[in-house]
Amino acid sequence: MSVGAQAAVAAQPSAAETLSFQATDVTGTHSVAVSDVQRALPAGAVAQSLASMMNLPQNVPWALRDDSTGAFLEDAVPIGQQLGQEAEAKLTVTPRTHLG
Amino acid sequence: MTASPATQSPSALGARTLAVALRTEADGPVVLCQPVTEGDLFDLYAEVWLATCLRKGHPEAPLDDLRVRLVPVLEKGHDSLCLGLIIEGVGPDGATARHAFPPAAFEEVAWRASQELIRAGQLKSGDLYFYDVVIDRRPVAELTLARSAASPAPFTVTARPTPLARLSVPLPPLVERAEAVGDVGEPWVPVFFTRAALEKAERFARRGALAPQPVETGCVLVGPLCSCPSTGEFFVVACEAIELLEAEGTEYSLTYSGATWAHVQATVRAVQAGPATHSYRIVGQAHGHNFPPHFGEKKCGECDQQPTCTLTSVFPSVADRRWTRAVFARQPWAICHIFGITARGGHAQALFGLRHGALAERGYYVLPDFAPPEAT
Repeated sequence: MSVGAQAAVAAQPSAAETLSFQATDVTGTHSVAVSDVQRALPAGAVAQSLASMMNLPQNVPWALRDDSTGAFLEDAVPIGQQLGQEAEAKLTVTPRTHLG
Repeated sequence: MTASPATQSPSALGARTLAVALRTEADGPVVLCQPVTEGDLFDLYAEVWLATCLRKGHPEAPLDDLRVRLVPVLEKGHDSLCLGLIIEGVGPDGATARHAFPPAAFEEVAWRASQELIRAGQLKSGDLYFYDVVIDRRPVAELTLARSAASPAPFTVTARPTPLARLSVPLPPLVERAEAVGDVGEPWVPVFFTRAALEKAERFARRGALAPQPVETGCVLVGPLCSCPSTGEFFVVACEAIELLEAEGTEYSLTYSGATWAHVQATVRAVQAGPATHSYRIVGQAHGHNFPPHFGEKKCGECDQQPTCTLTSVFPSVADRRWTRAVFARQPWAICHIFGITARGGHAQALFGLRHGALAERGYYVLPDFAPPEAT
């Protein structure tokens, strides 16, 4: 065993600090399973990152809607506070844009 | 994470990158070069997928399996200025098809560049800007590093791909029973409305015109995607219209609220619970431009000499185009029906579909009714 050799290991959040959910786009065409989401992340930031990772257009803002209530999650509030301890929430990635 | 269609290597672009060059004056210098990302090309790939796979009797072929090759069309005498982009797609049967996209297909990339210039104070909201599609000569490594640094993955996303739900329906008998409205020929994928759905869509779209201060109102269009077992053609049937409840309509805009989406999705799920209708989905939307054409402009000077009025409020606005791209990402069959009014106060309407990366006016068929067979 060599002395003095150091390995760099990135700190990982514990399971209690993360959550998982299922997400689809509004038409139900694109479905994904999302895991390892830090509970402290604002829901709006999660929505925007998720839209990007689902290859949805980035020229519009995105929000998450809870399928159990139909309501939008608050963008600025940590996602963990809004989903609580739900086993596996179902969310819809929804564009915040309008027809003209 | 959704996989991107496989790009054949080496592509005709080689190690170069496509970009949009923005100018603030028509003949001025380029002030910003905005890279075209893979995400910017997905809707164009989807159009190629529609033509190469879905309309060729391969509705089971997923977009992610489409093999594509990008070929820039250079302006004569230039080594970077592009007249457009050709995307070559290879279908499951090995046949190659070429689809040309003009610079207008990259308007969202130009818009993104304009937002950067507005943030930098080099452009004001409402200012005109001009753009070309070019081959970016900057080193690829520089661009790749910049993009990687900007987008670390904060969590894990695993795609749950599902086959495209569709019905197997013979097309010729439907066409025989239908009334054609406008140009229904190539290059358009056939779109059918049942008469009842079309009438409901118009009623919902024009409801806002009855308000003391007219506002925009509308509906989503629901029905099956279909594949013809004899011709291999792919087509859309809109046989239900769901009114937008609790939407926020103004004179020039229409915003779906959380409650609107919840109602739409609950209604679609209820429809999908039926054994014959489980493949039904949102295939498009309709809304009313319940304002005078050209935002209140008077009639044409030659109005008295024209048999019909062609000055209408029926057009896909920038907001309509952006909304359609967001809601119907990689769904090239999506339709946008707009009901408006003419300068004489009469009714006008038109259907728009995705063509060359933009919404273009197209025709459709009207059916007396539609009875779905069992889903495949």
